[in-house]
Amino acid sequence: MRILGPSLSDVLRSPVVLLLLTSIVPVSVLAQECTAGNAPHAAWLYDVTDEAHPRLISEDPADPARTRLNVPDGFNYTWDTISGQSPSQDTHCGIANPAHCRDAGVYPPSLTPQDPPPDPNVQPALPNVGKNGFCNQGGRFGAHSSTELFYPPYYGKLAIVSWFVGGVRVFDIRNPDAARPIAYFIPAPNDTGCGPRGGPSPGPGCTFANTGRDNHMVNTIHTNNVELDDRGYIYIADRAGTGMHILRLTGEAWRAVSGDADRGEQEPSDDHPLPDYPPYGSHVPTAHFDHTVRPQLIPPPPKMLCPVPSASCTDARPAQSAWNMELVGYDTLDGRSTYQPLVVRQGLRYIAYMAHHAGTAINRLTLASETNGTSILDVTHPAHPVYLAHIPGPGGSLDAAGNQMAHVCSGDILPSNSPAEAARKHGHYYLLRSNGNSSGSANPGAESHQIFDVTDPAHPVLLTTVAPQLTNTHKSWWECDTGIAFLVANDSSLASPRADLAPGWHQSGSNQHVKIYNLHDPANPEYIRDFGLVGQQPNVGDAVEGLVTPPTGIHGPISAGKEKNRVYLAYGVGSNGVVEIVDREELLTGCTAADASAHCAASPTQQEMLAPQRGWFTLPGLTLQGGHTSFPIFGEEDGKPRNLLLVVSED
Amino acid sequence: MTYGWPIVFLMVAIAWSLVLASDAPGSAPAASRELRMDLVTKISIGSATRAGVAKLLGRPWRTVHYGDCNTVEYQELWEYWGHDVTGSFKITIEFDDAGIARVIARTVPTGAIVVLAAAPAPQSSHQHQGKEPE
Repeated sequence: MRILGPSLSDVLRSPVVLLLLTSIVPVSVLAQECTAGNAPHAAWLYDVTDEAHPRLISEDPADPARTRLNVPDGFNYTWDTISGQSPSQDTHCGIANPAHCRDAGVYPPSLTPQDPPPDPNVQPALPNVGKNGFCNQGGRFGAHSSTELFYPPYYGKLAIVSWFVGGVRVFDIRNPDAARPIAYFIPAPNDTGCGPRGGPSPGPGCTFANTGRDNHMVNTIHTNNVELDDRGYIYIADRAGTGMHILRLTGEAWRAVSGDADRGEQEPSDDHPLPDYPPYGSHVPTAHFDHTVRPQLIPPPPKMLCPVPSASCTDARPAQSAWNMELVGYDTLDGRSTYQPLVVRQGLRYIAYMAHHAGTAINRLTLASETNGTSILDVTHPAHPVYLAHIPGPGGSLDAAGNQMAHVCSGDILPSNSPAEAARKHGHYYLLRSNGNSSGSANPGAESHQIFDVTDPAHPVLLTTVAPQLTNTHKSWWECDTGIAFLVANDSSLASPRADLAPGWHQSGSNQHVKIYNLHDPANPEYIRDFGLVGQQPNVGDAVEGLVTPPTGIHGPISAGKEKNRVYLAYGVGSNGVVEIVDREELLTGCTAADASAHCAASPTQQEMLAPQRGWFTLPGLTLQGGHTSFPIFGEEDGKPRNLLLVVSED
Repeated sequence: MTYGWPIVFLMVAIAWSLVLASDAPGSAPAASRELRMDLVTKISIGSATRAGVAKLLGRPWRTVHYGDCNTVEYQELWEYWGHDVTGSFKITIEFDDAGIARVIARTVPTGAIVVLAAAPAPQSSHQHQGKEPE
């Protein structure tokens, strides 16, 4: 065992000293994200008009990740002065020229990864606090995920990406060959507390104290995922327990999607038809790309908690900061760490389903400690969210808990095989959620995907467990107009026999592939098949696609629906990234074809894996980048089809 | 039986103090007992287990387990609320994949945070990287 220092253990015995330490060690020097070797996880645009030959576009030669959809470390927003390195070096800072990192506000050069923290009895020098950067916020800095709703007013115009300590970042992609930053929002850490009844209160903050990459504790926001509703509000969820922020576009970002028109947001009304674009329907909007050369904007630096650093004010974290965005509403979510926000229209109400990481917290409604599951809020009036319910997650091992993903479909949109089925589902809404996350070999078979009847969102009722005895469930997709669900998971070989058992799949990194069901009747799931990248099937042939053997596990599929007939699958999460483009119809029907092998669904042949594939590609930087999200943008340019993929790697 | 006004006033005041106390930060984590810093300092960083910490400090106010596929930090954190003469504070304990406490830190309402003790990170054994069960 190694502790801070030989003299510290005795010192730490005294609560008085603890207090003193708290008061003398500034936040700004306790963490360092920009350690040597960290990859600049970012977002990219690929032209996939020719699916067999995808092409990276909107490249920035000055950017270490070769993309214009990126956020430099420093608040002066130039790569050159931050990293001083060539674009070929896929590091933010630290290797090529550590002096530049220090200029950006990064830490003592002797601080290396995995070193214990500096002796808190010694007041460290404050290295250029005035020249702050995202590097020294301490938490993870880089992209994580993009919006996935095909909301027409924003579709093909904006790329909206969550960026951990960088908040949510918005890029103008109307001219996709020259994308540019156009808006951001960075929440402030919630240092004023999680009140026992849900609101801010005096006392310890909601924001989790969390590690940087070097054992240094930090207390900063981590914007995890971002999503839209069909009014155009933008919802961000915080991994560090800071809660949910509801945002809207302003200024130039709003004009980019609306011209100069008034805001004209959609209000709850029976007159508005339910959206018919994915995942609710199959009618994908058409983006209209242009060649207009717009000025590259320099985002203003965020506001700081200490506007003027001094001996008495050394907090280098951003305060709430916005550029062409503004905060509309907020909820603490009881301080639960949140992975994904999902907001759907249910009748005249907008209901937010906030999908949590594993953990425990106190439910404001019951004042009971509950395992993290799904928080449900009424956000019809976004300035005043109302917390309706929390569906607890699974008990038992924390490893197996959490419900990170949610999709909701209306029973009136899901197809039915009979009038009786349609009548039974009429007026109902169904929540599909992953149940558990990473039991893996530690606790195999404890996970599943569940369906709840959330017709009354304040009183959800468990309807069924779609696929029990899984491991490593995660980021699913559910087509409401067809019922087809692409569930991310892996089967445990310890599971008891069942029709959809598919053991023996191979993955590197995350142990996940896709299990496909038809959930048109949520109470009666119908298994279709398992799928993944070639080389992941149980009986591996002579082909192994991707960068490693076995290929990296999937993170999340996005289906463009029946009309476009494509499914996009991102593999690798944060490294060894691969994106695969698949023919949806061949994928769904391949194992029911007359010439399909006997075990095609659970254990397909190599040919059956290859048959639906239309293309695949790896990401810039090869092993450094992973496939977290791949969002398709179908469009036209100069009267010809032009289709893009927005690909995000997880930092 | 009747009470005089001073007694009634006192009873009402006591009742209100209980109501208000239920909203006070220190009383919110009803599941946990009062945090004692002398017990916090007994946690042996680098060897203490989850069970050991729970036995020492009781049930945490809040926990998280990220379950990341792409691990760059410890995945499991426990938080306790405490208060002393200076006001409220949080104690955060981070566990590695084997459930061993690796870092302890203290946060005060202003957000200021200090690492109290830390042990070197173990070799990664994150389950997502591991082999499937035989």
